[in-house]
Amino acid sequence: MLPFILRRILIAIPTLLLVSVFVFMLQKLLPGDPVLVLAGEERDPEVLAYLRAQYRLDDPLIVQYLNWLGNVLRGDLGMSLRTRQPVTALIAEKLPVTFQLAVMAMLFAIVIGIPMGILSAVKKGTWLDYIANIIALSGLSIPNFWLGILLILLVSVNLGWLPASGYEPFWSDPVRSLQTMIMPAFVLGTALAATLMRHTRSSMLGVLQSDYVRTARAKGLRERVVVMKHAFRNGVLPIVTLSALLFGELLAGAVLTEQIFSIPGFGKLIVDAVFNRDYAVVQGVVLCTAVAFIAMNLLADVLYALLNPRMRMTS
Amino acid sequence: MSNDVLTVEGLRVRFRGQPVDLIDGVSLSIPAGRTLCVVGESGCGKSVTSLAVMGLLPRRSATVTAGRIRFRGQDLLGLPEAALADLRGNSMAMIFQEPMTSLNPVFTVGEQVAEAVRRHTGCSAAAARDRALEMFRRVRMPAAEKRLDEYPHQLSGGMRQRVMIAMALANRPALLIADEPTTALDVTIQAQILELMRELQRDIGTALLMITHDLGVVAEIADDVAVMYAGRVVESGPVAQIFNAPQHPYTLGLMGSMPAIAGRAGRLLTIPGAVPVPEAMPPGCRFASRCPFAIPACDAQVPPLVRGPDGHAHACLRAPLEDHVGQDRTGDDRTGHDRTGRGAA
Repeated sequence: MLPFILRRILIAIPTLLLVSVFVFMLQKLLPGDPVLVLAGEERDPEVLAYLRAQYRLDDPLIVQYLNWLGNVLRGDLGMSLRTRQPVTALIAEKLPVTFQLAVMAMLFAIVIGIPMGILSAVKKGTWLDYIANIIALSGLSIPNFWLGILLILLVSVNLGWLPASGYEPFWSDPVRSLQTMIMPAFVLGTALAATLMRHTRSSMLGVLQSDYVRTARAKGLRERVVVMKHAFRNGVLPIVTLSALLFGELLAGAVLTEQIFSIPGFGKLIVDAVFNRDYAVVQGVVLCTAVAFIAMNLLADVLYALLNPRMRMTS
Repeated sequence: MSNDVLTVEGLRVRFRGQPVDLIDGVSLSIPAGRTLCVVGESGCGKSVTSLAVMGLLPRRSATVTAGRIRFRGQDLLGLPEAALADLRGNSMAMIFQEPMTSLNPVFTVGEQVAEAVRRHTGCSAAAARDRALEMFRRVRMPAAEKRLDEYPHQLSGGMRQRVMIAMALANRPALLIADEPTTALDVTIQAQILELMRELQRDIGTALLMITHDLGVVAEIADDVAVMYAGRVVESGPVAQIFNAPQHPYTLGLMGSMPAIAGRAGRLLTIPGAVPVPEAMPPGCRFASRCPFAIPACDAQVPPLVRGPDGHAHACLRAPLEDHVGQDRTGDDRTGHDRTGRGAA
């Protein structure tokens, strides 16, 4: 098992390097000159040249890249061109917000999506199945921003149950923190729940047809044991992988949802950075997102191997 | 016949969307400790019949429309699912054709056998594991103790089938249904598995319902034989009778298509045509369109299964077939008259 994980990590390294090159180049290819943003109203060539030199923007690209990469490896993602804060500090500030939102959204998705998928597979062709499918289709087709606005109107404005926006760090006031996060997490979670439900359903339908499920029934096992133990343990394998990948996507931040609920997360950070041509921040955030995504991929592979004896043995 | 472990009477099974019953009045019975082989080509309803006995028919697509299934005097068709589940894997068990896919890939084989024991005896996990080990030894699993903790993909097909047998027999069932248990295995392994099943059957006193299309297996293991064609039993009786004096043209065809090592070198006989599809099932004898002995009357009425004093039963209007051999060789008898006028009665 350990060699398998190590090999996976080794494979991740070239991917990360490729991502770093891409992130760096993308920045250079974007139109707009960060120095002009920095200088504001100032157009004195000497000032501009000074700024360029200070941020080493005149070096050859490869030198700029290697410098940047060296710093990144030392944990230094540079300074925000706009706020003069270290990018690492900015990310460290926003990451817990996005992480909390992602975890809560994922929990929603798993708690709603997977049982619904199992149920509609077991009850295939009945009204329960149809209702579950209609809910799933609605979850997939209702845009997040619309659902978000609707929820704010209903739950916050009309009923006054939950705050419409804002953010409270979990550790300072857990109750308030959950109150502010529950609606955005629900909004993000519905689409994911629908995806999980559809995949769980089709995976379970396949597994329920299998010979070993028939064997489990022939043993006289109760239908609940047949479904939840023998079928689900196999049917959940692709769902674990999918969930890890979806979680990786959530970590990239949800721009629209964060905007609607005024949550100071990754999505907001990157939008602000792009509008301000804050190269260092964009690079830092994109790199961070890519690392999170690759880490989730790795986690998906490891979990899959842990749950699947066939993988465990061959690795 | 009160010592019959299993009696199936006039069983009819229909699949959703089909115009006729796929299983059309099948009757079978197996006395305790005996072996009944059900023979027939693919799609004749052998497996469906056995699944119906186990109560494992796909509920949404198949329904038992008529008939009775009595297991040790108890009517299985009237039984609620929970009571049926108490019997399954306990007093009646089943082995399937595909050892490669019939075991759950994510649990160890020891766990899967022990699970069957725990389900029906309620014993401790350790006791169930001991029982699984004991069964592994009895099915002559090589390195039995080590195998308990292995996963199905680590075992060969023959070993997996031994696991299935161990699982099925762990609770000493009164009835074991084996659906082509050796078809997917190498020939040398086939013989070992058959021998093993016969031995365990003797030890435990289990009645065996063996589904097969292999007459070699029948000759090896059967006490009685039921030949099925297109959802009906067309001939049944003690194995010697069936082999020595087959009375249904389909049985005759099956025998003719079996290669014999010691027999004359020559072409194997084949039965022309194919099993009729459900949408075009003939009203009379379902074999008539492929039968060299058929007469117009065969198309008009369903031949009844007639049992002789020796227990040999056949469903053919033209029996005994010996009477026609020679005169019907050309196979153009369908145009002639019913010269014998002999019904099965």
